[in-house]
Amino acid sequence: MLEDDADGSLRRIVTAAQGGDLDAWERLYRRGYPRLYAYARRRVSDDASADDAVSETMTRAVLKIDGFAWRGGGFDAWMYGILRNVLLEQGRRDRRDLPVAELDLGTGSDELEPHTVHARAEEGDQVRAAYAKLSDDDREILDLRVIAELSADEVAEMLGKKAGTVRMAQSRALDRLRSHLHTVGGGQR
Amino acid sequence: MSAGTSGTPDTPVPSDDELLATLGQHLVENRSPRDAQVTDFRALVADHRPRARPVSRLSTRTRRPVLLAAAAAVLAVFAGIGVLLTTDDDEPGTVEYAGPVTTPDGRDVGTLEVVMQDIGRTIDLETDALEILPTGEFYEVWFVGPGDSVESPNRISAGTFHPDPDGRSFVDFTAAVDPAMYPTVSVTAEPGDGDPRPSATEVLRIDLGTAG
Repeated sequence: MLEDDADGSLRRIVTAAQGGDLDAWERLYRRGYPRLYAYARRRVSDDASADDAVSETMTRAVLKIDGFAWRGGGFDAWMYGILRNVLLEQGRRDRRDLPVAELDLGTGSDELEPHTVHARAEEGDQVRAAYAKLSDDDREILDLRVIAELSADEVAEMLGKKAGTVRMAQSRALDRLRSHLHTVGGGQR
Repeated sequence: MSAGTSGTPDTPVPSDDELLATLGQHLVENRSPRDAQVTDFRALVADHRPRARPVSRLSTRTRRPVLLAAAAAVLAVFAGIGVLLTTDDDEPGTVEYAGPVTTPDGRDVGTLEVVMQDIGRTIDLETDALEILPTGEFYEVWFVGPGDSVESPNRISAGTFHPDPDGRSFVDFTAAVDPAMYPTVSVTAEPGDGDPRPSATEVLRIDLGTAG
C-alpha cells in the first residue's frame, strides 16, 4: 500500500512502533488512514461509522502489534485483515449499515446538474455507477487491490485463496466492470 | 467518463492496468485524519506502550526485598546506589538505583528502581503524586545524557504513561541504553502536541551517575 515499503522504511517504522515509539505510530496512522477510511466508508452508512471503524482498527493494531511478524502479506495486509473483522463485527451490531450495493459512493455528484458536470466528474459518476453493479465478491477483490493497494499475493493471504485465483477473480471482475461501463457510459445511449 | 474508459465504439477498450488506475482515481477519497484524531491516537498508544504494567498486576506483585532494603537508605533525588544482586522475575541484574523519589523541593513522591539486565535498562517507577493530566497529555520517561538541553537534546525516551483514575502511576519500561552515556532519569509532562521533543515541564529528575 505504501511506496515507502519498497526501501524498507515501512519495516523500520513498524519495528519502532513495536517498541512503542509514538512518532512511529503516528506515521503509521497518517499513512494508513486515507485508504483505510476509503475502504471502510464503502462498507458503512456514514462518515462517522467509517471513522469509528478506522479508530477501532488502529486500536486493535496497537494492542496486537507484538503478535505481528513480517511474513506473507506484510503489514498492510495485516491491517486490512483487522479492518475487515472490525467491519464484519460492526455490521452485525448495527443494522443501519447497508450492503455495499446500496451505498452512496460519496462523490458529491448528486449535487451537480447533469448538464454542468464536467468530463472528469462525469467519468467518476460512470465509474462508480458501473462499480456499484458488481457483485460483493468482485468489489471486495477490487477494493483490496485498488483502495488498499494490496498485491495479489497479499489479497490471497487475506482471503485464504491462492494468488492465481485472486488474479483470475480480478480479471473477471474487471471484465464485468468494462461491460457495465459500456452500458452506463454509452452502450445504451 | 472519458470514453476511453467506457470503451464506446470510437475509443479503445482500457487495459486492466488502465482500468485499475481509473478506479483508483474515482474510488479513493483523499482524506486525512483530523489533528484531534491524531492526538487521541497518540494518547491511546501512550496508554498501551510495551511493558506498561497494569495496576492490578503490579499491586499483587511480590516486591523485591532489595528494594525495601535500599529504600531504607532514603535516597533523595540526585542520589543512588549500585548493588549487584538478583531481582525478582529471576532475572539477574545490577540495581543502579532503588529508593524513594523526591521532587527538587523535597517532596517524597514515590519509589524508583533502575536495574541493568541483559535485555537493557529497566525502570520501575511508582508514584501517587503526579497530577492527572488533561486528555491528550501524558508523562514521558527519559534517559538523559550529559550536555542535554532544549537546544541540543541528548536523551532517549523510555516510554510514556498516564496515572490511573486514582492518581497512581505504575510504570515499567526497558530501554537498551548505556548507563555511562545516559546517567540520568527524567520525567516530563508532555502536551500531546505531536512534537517528539521533550517539553520544558520536568516533574522528576534522578541522577543515577552518582550511585556508588
